[in-house]
Amino acid sequence: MNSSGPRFLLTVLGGFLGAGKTTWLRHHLRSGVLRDAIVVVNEAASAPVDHALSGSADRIHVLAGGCACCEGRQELQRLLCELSALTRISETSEIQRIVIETSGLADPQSIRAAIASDQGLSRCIEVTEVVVIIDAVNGLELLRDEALARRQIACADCLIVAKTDAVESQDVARLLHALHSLNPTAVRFGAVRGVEAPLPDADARDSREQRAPPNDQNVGPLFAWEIRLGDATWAVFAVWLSALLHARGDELLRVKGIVHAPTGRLLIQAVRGHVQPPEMLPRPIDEADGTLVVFGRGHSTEMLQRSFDAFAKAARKAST
Amino acid sequence: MGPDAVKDRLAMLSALGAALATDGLRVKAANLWSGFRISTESGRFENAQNLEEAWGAAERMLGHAVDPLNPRFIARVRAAVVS
Repeated sequence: MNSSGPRFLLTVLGGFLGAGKTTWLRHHLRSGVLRDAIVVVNEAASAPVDHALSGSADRIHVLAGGCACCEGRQELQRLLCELSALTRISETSEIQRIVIETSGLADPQSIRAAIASDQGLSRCIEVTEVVVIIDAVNGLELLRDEALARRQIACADCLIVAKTDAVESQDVARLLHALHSLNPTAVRFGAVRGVEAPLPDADARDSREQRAPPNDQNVGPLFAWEIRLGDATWAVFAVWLSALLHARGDELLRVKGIVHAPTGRLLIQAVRGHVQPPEMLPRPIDEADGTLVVFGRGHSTEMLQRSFDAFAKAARKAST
Repeated sequence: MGPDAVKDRLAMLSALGAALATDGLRVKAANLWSGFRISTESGRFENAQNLEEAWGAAERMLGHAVDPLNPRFIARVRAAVVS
């Protein structure tokens, strides 16, 4: 294969923690739009949860335990080399594209640069677009507080404003203004549960209502902490997590995990303290079951695990 | 309410009670099917429909949130286990 031959077209799908990347991807997988694509799901945590949502299609590959823009970059390059070596491409090939769903901690520009700078990869893969999803509910707050979220927006070719049904149209318009100030050239779409949705006319708004100036006090690195739930019951988990989110919800940017409740296998998700309705997942049991992944700053896996273990023991004693 | 749901509700009451007891609060079922009644030792109480409301009620009664990551909270919970 050489640079003049057909290349895989690669889309980088990025966006901050909890923006709605997996929901968007899942909708497009189910609708068949991505039937000609290999999908790579990257998760910063070593217990992968998102791929449980995307499904078990054999074209989905998981890269867990490192963000592909930094510590997991070599692993991504290795996987892309393998995929492009294993999958022949021609104008009539079944597989024409690769989609990488980045972790919420990734800078998509770094991934684009990593592929472009790898001569072997760039001979068989062309990065055609960076799609970045931003959540209409938390978007303005994120752009104010998180430099990474602003970098993600700035490098996008296409911006998708998700969850537009959860806020008033004037709030979406305000977010659109903020997005325009960071990246005036990106095309923009709205989305609700992955389905394209109309966006309000942002041009009619008063230009004085621009985004708030950046508040870069959140300069510390974001971490993914993994808490093993062990044999604790669903009730113990629900009580502990609800207390944690009540007291620390603003500090915990994202919580996700697969737990076993009396009703079945549930996906639990929260973004900045807001818990989303649990989603029933099909069996079989996955390696990520019974692990809660929490993203934030200033704590540690040990501290969270110590808290949960103490809580579970106290609850067990109280119930006997 | 099926047997699993009853068992789950009792377990939730028990777990919530264990957490709030470290701050001197008590918990019991607000009614048969759902909800919690959080009370102080002096008899002041608030009803909560769900866990989120329960933590809010506890915060109002205590003047601070029950914080599972507070080392003092963890120490009190551990002490309750060994006592």
